[in-house]
Amino acid sequence: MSRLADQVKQAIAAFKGCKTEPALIGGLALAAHDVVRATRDVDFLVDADDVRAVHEALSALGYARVHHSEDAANYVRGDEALDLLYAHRPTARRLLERADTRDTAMGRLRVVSAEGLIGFKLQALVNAPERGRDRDDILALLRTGRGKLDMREVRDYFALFDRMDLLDELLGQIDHDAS
Amino acid sequence: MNCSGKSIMTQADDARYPVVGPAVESRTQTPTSPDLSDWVDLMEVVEMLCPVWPERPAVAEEGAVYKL
Repeated sequence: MSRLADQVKQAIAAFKGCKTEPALIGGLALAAHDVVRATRDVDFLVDADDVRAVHEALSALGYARVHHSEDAANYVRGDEALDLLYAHRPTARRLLERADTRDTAMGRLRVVSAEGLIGFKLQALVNAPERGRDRDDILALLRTGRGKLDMREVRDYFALFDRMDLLDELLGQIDHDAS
Repeated sequence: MNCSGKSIMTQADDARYPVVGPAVESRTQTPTSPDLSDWVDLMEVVEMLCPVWPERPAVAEEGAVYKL
């Protein structure tokens, strides 16, 4: 098993004491929705009520917290990193609550829906527009989930970030590529 | 005389089978294994090729907008 997979396995085992088990988000979670790409980013959505429990679990695993805010935290252990997004608003709480459970090579873990991932990727893109990777990931999720995604929910996320223009552009690109 | 067993590719063949280019899709578009084993396999190969992770960019959150 890869070192990164071991890192995920360790983290999900340590999260067992949480009130709500954290769910995978970010690049790794894409793999659960048929979009596989190499990533070293390990990102979890964590219930805001579990901040302390998760911090204690990660500290016991040797991680140091290098950034912490009401919304997010970054942990490092040597060259390994683990990022957390805290669910304290209704949308993130709902996405965490509805996260799917998967039996994986790394253990049983929860994964946020494809629609939710698009929302989080869009949030990341809005915060760092220079990172083309988030746009590519959204495009891949839209393409792979064509006909299966709840587009009403997806549209709500783009509207929330005032980026309906981007959704139109991405859907146009998918239509163009398919024709 | 060409004794090579290799097939000869024409320029037109090359155009159909680009080594690197926009026609190459870097992400799988077919259903993957639900247990994430595709990603685990991929990362094993990636770590063989890149055993030491490159330095990660510094965390920058100033002004970040969180709405979800």
